[in-house]
Amino acid sequence: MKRRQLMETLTGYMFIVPYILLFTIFTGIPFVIAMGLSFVNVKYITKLDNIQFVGLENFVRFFSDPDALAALERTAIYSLIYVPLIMIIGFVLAVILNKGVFFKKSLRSMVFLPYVSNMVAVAVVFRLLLGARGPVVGLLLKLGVENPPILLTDAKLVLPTVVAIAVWKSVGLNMIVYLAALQGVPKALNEAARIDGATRFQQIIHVTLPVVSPTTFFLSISSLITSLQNFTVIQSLTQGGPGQATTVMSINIVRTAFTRFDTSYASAQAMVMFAVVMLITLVQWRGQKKWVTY
Amino acid sequence: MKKMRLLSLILVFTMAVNLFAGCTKADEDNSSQTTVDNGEATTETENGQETEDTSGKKYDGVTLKWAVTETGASTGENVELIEKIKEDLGINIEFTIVPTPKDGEIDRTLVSLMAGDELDIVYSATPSLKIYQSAGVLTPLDELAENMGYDMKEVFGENLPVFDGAVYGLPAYSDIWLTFYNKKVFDDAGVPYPEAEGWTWEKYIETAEKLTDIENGVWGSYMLDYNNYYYMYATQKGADAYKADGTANFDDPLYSEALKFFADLGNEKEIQPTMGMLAAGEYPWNAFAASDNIGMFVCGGWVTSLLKNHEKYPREWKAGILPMPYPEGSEASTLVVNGNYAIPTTSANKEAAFEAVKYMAENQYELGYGRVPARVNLSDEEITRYIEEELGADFVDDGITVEDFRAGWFDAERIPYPEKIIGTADTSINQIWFEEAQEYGLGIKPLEETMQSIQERSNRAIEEAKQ
Repeated sequence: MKRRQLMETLTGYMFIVPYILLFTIFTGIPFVIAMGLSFVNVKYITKLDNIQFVGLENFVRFFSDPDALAALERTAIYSLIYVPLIMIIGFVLAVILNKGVFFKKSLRSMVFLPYVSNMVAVAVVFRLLLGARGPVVGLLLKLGVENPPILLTDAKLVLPTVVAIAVWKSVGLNMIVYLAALQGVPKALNEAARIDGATRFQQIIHVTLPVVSPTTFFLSISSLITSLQNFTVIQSLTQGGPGQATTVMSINIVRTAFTRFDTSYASAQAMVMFAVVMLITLVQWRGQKKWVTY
Repeated sequence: MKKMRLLSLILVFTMAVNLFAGCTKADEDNSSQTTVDNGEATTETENGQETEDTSGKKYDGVTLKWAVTETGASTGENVELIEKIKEDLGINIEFTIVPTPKDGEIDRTLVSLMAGDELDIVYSATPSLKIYQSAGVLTPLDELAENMGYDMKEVFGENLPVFDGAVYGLPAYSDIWLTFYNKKVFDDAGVPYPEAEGWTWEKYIETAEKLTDIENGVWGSYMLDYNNYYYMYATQKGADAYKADGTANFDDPLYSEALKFFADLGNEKEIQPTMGMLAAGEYPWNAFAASDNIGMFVCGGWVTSLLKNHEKYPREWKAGILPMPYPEGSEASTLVVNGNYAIPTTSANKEAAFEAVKYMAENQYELGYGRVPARVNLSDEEITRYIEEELGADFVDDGITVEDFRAGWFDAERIPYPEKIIGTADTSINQIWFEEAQEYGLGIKPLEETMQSIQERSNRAIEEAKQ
């Protein structure tokens, strides 16, 4: 028995060893290197002999750099719009497509399709749709709107527009995960609530939401992380423009590292982002005891 | 049960092998190893005794390494070039393959040089060459030229890449800006084709206004939203991006004039797409060649490669060329990007490398690949012959004459300014110009605030670059 258990345990470890190995090589080690880089003065063309330990200088520089702070602010705005929007829309779609709808399997596939689409192709399509000669502007003109906004070149509207496109592209995953969670809601609870006179809306608020709260907790963290991995979306749609209207932290980090060649400073910015995400995740983790029902 | 365990072990092993199957040694895939033969200029006779080389080829038998991409190593032009060098100089040149960096990736040649890899010849456009020079991996050529009695200035004039007072490369060819025009648009508008003489920006605008017919979707002018367009007017008026103390010089009124000049072409004068249209990407970079409704296009000489590609850009209209316009009241000028050959500090045979680089820079254009030589000491006869036999051969049907090419690409009186700002923090500054100019062009910021922002951000970038 013991030998059998040992073999089973070893087999289990052997299955996960490749992943752990690759994670260590391609994620763990680069992360440690990036952390180390943030405390030295490496620029793209710094020779190894000239590398010096500078302590927290890069971090101090970050908090006194108006461009970097502005990028951080835009990142916060992006996440503040993205996370609630994708959570709410994902949940609503899952409730609607759970049951009682014709062609629900086809509709579920259609909602999930953007998630597997190529972002560059999505960007090309939306630039045509939202352009000055696109159907959106055309429709607004026909409706009598004078000087309709060109959403991807309007400095005030471009960031919410990019968020909306990112939500449209990724909401499929949230919908699928919520759908799975909704399958696990005991029917008896909803029936009992209905018998007690609860409306459909009240059932959702007081029965369904608490039961799927673990899923909500997981999706809120993953959506927050996804909202910060927005480089491809923004680079494809606006390249950080117009001007700097959509230059968020991910764009700023890439520009700092590969345009300005300031590798250490870029690493410091990445570390700041990592710290912010960890802090928010920690707050959520502590908070789950109060609002997550297991 | 035993069979299940065995099966699971096999599956795990197979998975692990597949995961690592794609990994190879970096140096097997990424670069070819070449051997360096530091052969001296001697030959060995049958009885093994060395004698002095009498072929007249001082570096006969020397092997040099030239860093090129995979594409570069297979192009006919580069292969023919090294064959000619072997024939005429006796120098063997071997390609050292360096992967082509994708967007955002590091220049592998630079990384190789900084790691100390031995290379004898590198090629780069002037702005990128500046990065190499800043990294300290390039050999200044002044001493080498002096030792050989070679007057670089006489051969290449202002095209030499000079950084911090020293020459760091020899330019093989130039990409010189031109005005390209669609003759059909002119014919339809009843406007005579412009003359190269006195072709100023003011005349350009006047002509474009006559050609523009927005209702029918015809633009008299088209330019891209590259950052250098926003300050080209100032560049052509002789403005310097840096003050004597090394700080940014964008508080010079010439720069605000330049930005307003370009933005007004679309936003006010409406002779080309507005800044908003350009920012929205409504018109692609190849719109002039791919459409038939643009009257004139001011851009680099590389556009000729689009116009002679009738397969990819079939057109029923004929093209014409003129020199780049210049500001009225200023001397005739144009923008230029030069492609240079340089010698890294890691070269083991700099004298032979200089001989090869000198040959490449002087003669590459003769290979017949449509290059505009960066030499300034070609005679009129040589220029005429080259235009007739090479440059103009693909444009006979368009009616572009030898004189048209001469005026656009071989005018020794025209001042060649670098296309983009080159200097401390130049990459950051060019990015700053792109961002701020877009905000001005889209009406987000007024001009004064935009220029102030450009000045402050540029000075910050210069300070950070110096640290």
